[in-house]
Amino acid sequence: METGFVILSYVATFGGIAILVAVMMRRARSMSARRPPEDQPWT
Amino acid sequence: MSGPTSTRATRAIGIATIVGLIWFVAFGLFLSPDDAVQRKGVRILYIHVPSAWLAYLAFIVTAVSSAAYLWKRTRSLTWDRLAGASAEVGVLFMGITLLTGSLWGRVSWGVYWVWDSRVTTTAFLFVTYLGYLAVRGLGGSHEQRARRSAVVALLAVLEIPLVHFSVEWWRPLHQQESIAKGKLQNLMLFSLFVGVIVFTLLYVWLVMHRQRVLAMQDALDDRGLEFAIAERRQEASL
Repeated sequence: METGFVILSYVATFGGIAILVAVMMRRARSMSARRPPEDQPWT
Repeated sequence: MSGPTSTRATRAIGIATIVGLIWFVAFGLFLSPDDAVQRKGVRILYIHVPSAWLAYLAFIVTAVSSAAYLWKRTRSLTWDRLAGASAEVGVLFMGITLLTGSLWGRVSWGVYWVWDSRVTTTAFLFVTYLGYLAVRGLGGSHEQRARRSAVVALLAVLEIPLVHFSVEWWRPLHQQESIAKGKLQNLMLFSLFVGVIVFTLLYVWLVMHRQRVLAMQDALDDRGLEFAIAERRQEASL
């Protein structure tokens, strides 16, 4: 039983982080396509 | 790893984070030994403690950035965006802390949730920062958003000492400090250390990207407003 809870905690953690990264990258791509380079001074 | 908000620095941090995460999973799940009392359940600690540390760090960065915005000499929307990005990542890690704590509680105590002082204050901190994000989402100009959310951030950060010291002040079911009291040693301590370093790198990477996305969003809002004003002027001159 303990192993199941341990695996669930790791899967939930990395799953949550992966979802945040995917949403953030998707939003970044969509914004970047609509903005000129001067609005992206880090490039 | 590569995207419109990437730079050489974020790519380097991203690669270091991925390598670190592989190390972390190897140590956390396979290489560190079972605990004498908690057996395999101790492996949840390697995620739970770094997540809590990261949430504290993120909320403190939010407060410091907010103070920098409110101070006239350093006033800049960059501070506001840094505060917002840090709070978003902090809320994610606080959520992970509550979830992994709940699973650990089921393994250690036999229940998912108890209303003891540490668990309750942590849940309250989580809800407070959800409120902070909601305040950021209210309408108005960027400056209005920055000012009101900065005030909320400076009030919200006062909860962190309450959460941290709740285990000493009220003696809850939640265990007290394990690291300072030397209860973790050798590979177990090392696994926890790897977790803290890797999660900190992940935090830096996430915040750098997120605040750039927020900068693009703000620029898009500004250009949209300029376009709308120009359109109205053109209509009025006809």
